[in-house]
Amino acid sequence: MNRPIRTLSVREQGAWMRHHHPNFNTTVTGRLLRSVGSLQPTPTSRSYAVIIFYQAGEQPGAFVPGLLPRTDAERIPHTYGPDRPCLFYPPGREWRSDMTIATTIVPWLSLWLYYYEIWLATGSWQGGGVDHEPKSEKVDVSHT
Amino acid sequence: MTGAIPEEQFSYLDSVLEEVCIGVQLTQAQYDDATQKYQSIGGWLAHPNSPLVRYSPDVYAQGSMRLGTTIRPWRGEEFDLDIVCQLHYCDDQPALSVYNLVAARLKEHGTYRAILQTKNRCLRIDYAGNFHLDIIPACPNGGTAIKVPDRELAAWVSSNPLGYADWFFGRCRYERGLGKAVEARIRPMPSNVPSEHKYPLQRAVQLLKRHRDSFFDGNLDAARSILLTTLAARAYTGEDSLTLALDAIVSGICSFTTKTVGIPRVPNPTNPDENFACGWNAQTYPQFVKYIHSVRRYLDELMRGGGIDQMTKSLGGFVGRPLAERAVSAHAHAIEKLRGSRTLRVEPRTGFLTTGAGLAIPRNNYYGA
Repeated sequence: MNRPIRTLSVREQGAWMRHHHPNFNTTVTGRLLRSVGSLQPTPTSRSYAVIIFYQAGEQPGAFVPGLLPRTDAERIPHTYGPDRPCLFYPPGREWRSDMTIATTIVPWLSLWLYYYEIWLATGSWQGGGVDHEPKSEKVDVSHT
Repeated sequence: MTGAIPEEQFSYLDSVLEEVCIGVQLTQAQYDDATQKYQSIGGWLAHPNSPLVRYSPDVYAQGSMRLGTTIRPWRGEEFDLDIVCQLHYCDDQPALSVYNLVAARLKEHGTYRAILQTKNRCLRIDYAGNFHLDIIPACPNGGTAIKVPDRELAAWVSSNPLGYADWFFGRCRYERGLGKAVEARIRPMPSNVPSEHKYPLQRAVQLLKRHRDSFFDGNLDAARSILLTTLAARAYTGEDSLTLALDAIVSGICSFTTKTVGIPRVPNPTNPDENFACGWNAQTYPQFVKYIHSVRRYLDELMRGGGIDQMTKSLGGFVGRPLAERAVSAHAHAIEKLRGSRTLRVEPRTGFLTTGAGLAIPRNNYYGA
């Protein structure tokens, strides 16, 4: 069922990042890609400094330093840690190594930042998704 | 910092203010109910068996319903719809007899008779619930002008609701740069135009009225809607963006209050002898100035940006928190729909969500608790 895919090299990922996001500062060191830039989901939104990272053979991800919860007791939804958004559902193979980070992780992150601000404003996450808890792992069919 | 070009700097705020307008306008059910009652009365007045038939009655809406600037009543206040029952061939009749003709016809109807109230210049049908219909008897007075019986004066007073609407829609179509109205044609019957199809001036008036209602909170000194509408339409300079339209209007009104010595007049554009600001005095005028500066302050906050959450807080002060949060959520819902239909994109230079050129957003599910 899974057709063979052609994994893009880290160097190729870096080239696509520079092509689509020339404002980002993208560096490739050996098997590691690191790209630093800023994203602002709407003109009313804050401009967020973001760091995209990728290591060959691993899943790519992003850091957004300085994200704040609504209250100290609350955790920001859909995050791996205080500043690391979960941008896709790994078991759903939404990201594969033949996909460019520039056209997946970056748009997902900007959209995530939009829902984050909506969550700050209203207290509800309106961007759909899948929970970490195995029992409630339901893929939102509207985006599959 | 914003990477927005000037035209798109307020695109998000425009959309959210638009959602606020949808939130403050009459619900479809309220609108349908009002329309049905209005049509029934029109049908009764113009019925072939009606004694009014020989005067060819013409029944039409006036005021905010005609202008498309209606907002829902504030707290326990009543929603009213003003309709004109314009007769013809009645120029030689005394004012009171025209008033009485219309009153007599309404009294012939069992239901209307029971809930009819006679007012100075209108006949009020007071429905159960929070709704009344004011019927203004009138005769033609040259062009679009009409004359209306004033019972206390036992005389005619002049009015021109169609001329006013004509002027207002001319201002709505005012084009920037051209410095003139492109086309001034009256809209046929008022319809519950979905807010997104309204002119920026109409929406701006809705927002000014909403803040007036919350600022004055039932205080009878609040500026009348016709006064706010006239001031807004005068100050509007053809902006396409709702935010920029409001900005120009509020600046225009603020500078009007600053430049005027004493208490200014605001003449009816279709009848310069009539002063819409006749309710302003040493006590009420300073309150109006405070109100317009309050709008200015909130608008400055909204335009400053600093995050959707900060903007929502300011919007809550401007139009009320539940309405602000509902508007922000409604916009998020619209974004979700665009995302679901794969029409949402991301502008790579800035990260802006857009339906224009940009990177498509592949399907994904945000993971995690």
